[in-house]
Amino acid sequence: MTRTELPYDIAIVGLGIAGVPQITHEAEETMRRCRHVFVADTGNGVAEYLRTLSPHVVDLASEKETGAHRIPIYRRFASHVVSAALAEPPVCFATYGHPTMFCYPTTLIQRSAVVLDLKVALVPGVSSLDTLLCDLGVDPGSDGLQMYEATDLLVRRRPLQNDVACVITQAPMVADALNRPAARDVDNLALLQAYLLKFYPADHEVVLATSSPHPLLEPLVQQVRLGSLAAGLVQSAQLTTLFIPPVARRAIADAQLAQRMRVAGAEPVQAAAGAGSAVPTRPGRPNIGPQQPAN
Amino acid sequence: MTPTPPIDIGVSPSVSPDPPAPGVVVRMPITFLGMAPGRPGFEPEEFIRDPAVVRSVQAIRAAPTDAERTAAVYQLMETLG
Repeated sequence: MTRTELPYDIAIVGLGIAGVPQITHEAEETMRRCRHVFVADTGNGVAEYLRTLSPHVVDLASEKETGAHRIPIYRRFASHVVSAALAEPPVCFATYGHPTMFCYPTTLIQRSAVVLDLKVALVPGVSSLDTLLCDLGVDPGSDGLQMYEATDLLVRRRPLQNDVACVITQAPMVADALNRPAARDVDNLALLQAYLLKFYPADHEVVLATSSPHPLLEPLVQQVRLGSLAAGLVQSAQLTTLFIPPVARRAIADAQLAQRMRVAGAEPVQAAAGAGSAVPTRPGRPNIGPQQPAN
Repeated sequence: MTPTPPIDIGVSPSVSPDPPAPGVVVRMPITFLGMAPGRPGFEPEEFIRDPAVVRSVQAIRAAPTDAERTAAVYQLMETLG
């Protein structure tokens, strides 16, 4: 297939969270095939790396005017991409993270494509949710997962289930319409804290997590009590995500169905009797087996 | 980049009724957390009848330079969200 026969005019790819190592082969191959690549990712070395894949890379960072309203910024991003796609398709919009995870320019590009008869392809990337689950060792299979954008949570007064793990994205910039990466509005953060306290106790431990933006850095994970959330968020990075563990595990409501799901022959664990005298040991840690009574 | 080539970008009524990349997101209410002036939803067949949209697309088609085309696309974006 030649470049002009590609099945899209605009490819939208996600670049992942941790810089170049998280760019997928699929995203790379897509960018190689496009005439122009527009990049919205301020990660160290990302734009430079993309220039090794494509001779025409436009870094959209200069459009992110500090203090400006976020919506015009996103419109400018989308305008550059769509305008180039009309002139010299195919083009690529390469964005931080995952292309449909809190990425409004992607929405604008898709909507304008409908009007302008442009074909769009979406290529997934490693999202902030993916890295968060790894950073915290969380598997949504256990207790489920609810996920909301912080401002959306407040303006819609969305109900929360406190027996389900909860991810609140963009918490540090809640209720702030402007592009102000370093600014934290204590009053806005207090609004978020007060709303969450309608569903969770003040002493509930929550987690502020910031995934590593570079392979040489560790993720930042900080526990705070919900009653001190606003104070914790004041100190946090712009990309910090709030994770709220469940307050309690929901009880099984359909015991018959649950029983049906058990593995065949599974019986409650009984204490082993006369299994031998050799107790398995672990250097520097308690032995494996029943705990010895304290003398 | 080169000036806009003579391509048909599909103003009403020639625009396809089907989105080129069908997805839930394009039909969601046109607002972003209440920050953008919103319509109740995005129905392409209704949207392309809007005189502001028609003017934007005509301006896009007539733009002689990259900069003017990008400015015209921005006008369209203002109606999209």
